[in-house]
Amino acid sequence: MQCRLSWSCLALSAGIGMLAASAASATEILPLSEVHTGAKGVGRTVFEGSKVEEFQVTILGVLENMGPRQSMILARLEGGPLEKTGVMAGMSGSPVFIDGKLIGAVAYAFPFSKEAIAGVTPIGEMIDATRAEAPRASATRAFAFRPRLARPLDRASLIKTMQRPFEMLFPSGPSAGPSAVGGMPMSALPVPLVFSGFAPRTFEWARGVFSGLGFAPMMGTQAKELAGSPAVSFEPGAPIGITLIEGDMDMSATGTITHIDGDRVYAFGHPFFNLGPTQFPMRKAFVHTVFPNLYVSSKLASPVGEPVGTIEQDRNTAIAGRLGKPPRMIPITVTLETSRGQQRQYTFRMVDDELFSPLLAYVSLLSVLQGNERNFGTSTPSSPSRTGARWSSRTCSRTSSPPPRPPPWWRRPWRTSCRTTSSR
Amino acid sequence: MAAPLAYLMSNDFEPVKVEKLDVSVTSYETNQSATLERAWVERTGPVRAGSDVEVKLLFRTYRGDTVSETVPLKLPANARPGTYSLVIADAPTLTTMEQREMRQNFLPNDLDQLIRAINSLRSNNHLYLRLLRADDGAIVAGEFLQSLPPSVLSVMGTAQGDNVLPTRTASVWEHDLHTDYAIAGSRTLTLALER
Repeated sequence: MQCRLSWSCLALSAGIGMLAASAASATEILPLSEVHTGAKGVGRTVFEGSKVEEFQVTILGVLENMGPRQSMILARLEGGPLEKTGVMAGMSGSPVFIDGKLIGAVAYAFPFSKEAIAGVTPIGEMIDATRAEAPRASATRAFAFRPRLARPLDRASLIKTMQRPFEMLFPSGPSAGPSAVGGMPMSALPVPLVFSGFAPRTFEWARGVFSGLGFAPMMGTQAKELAGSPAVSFEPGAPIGITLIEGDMDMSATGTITHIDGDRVYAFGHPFFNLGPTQFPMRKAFVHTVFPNLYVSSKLASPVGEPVGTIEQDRNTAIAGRLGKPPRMIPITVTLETSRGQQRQYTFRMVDDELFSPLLAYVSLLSVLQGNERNFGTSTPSSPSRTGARWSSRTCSRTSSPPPRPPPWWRRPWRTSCRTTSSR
Repeated sequence: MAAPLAYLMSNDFEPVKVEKLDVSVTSYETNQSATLERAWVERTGPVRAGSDVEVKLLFRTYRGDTVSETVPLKLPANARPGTYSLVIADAPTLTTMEQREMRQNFLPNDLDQLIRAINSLRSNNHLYLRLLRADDGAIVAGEFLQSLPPSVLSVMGTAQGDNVLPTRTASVWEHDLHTDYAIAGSRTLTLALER
């Protein structure tokens, strides 16, 4: 009897858990086939602070087969500051509802448009594209990055390996989605990328690089300065932050949450960078203000607090993540002995991503140097050329000098000693 | 830092989990560069196997000061008599010379080889000294095998393909000189080893 009772309790508590989960996913979805021209609805986003506000939506039409089995809903947006700003960067993912049912996310816009006309990505396509549970396979992206390097390896050719993926993938930036509607250029809303703690000169350089990659880089404030701000919500319509670097420097992209289904979070309605499987920290965010701009206006937002989960999928029609455990990041420590004899140490963490990590490592190191040394005149940075490398699956260490020479008739490069156990 | 990281993380062999990056940088508000102006071998008697000679180097810094260095060269006891080339070169020059001899693309066979290649990247504040002699060798599966016996070369000759590349020089002595400057320049000296 006692046993039966405890099983009943367990079943009851499981039921409560399921109820909570179903409450979180209570949002009804309107199939694309039921979205008609002229229908009126509402959208949700944060224009300032952390309050989710509504704006009006009028459906202008459904554009089918804009891409391979991809459709888009064309809609006019009104309300709030939209008359002055138009559709703005940072609204990517703002959910649109008709009769209380979710139809999709604001994701595309016409630059220089005189009206706030947006492309809405259907929610069905967002869920479908990000439905994947398999972890990232090794060398998933490596095939495209293999340049032909001379032997022996030299630094100049190695630098090509870092530049090549970006050049190959996006010679003029990742212009995701349809390129033109009715002869007008239409593009995915740029993703605001907020830099804080970076040297202004480094930011100017990085702005050129990241703009070319489809982001809207801007200088901002660091999340910890917002500790006294009102409680920030994490719900459809609220901003979402994706952190690339955190710590003494912070670099985060922001967009809007479209849908939360249990612990599953959907956002953007277009790719972050279309990386496929990812492990990026997902955070709440706070919108400081909006910048009206003739080309595309933008929200200025900063992530707030600790990561609330992990962005696991970055696909053509959405990004998706899971609430809970944040991903592992790569810790970086930069110790700089300045030309004035001072010692400065910077600690931060960056995402573990084969495409972005090298670029982020470069930008952050450049910022440390440019932030501490003069802008004009000669300067020589010096760094020990030999550094230790340690992997988790295998441990490798390098000798600081070559071992005693082998017999002269048998020359081999000195060995990196490796063993399979991890070490600290 | 970024380029080796890019190559390592996008390798084709196995996933690499980078645990941490520690970077130490010292910055100077001066131009810490120098060019190799002269190089010569100072000796008092005939150069023989096992003998010691001194390699003298003279650098000129950015502001025109001269800096001299002496590198002791101990000739291997089993070095054969003949003509040797002493190559003294900065990192890019030596790498270019080796690339010209190897005429091969860098295609690592496994992660160990890739890591070795990255670890072997040369620094611009080092001057590299190599004592070379004409000798047959081969690069096999990316590994440099020098002074191979004729029998081994003969076997390899029959199996020549992309994986086996003959080489014509062998290094009998190597030294990497660490300096406080970014070094540019190269010199090649000729040493005649007497019996």
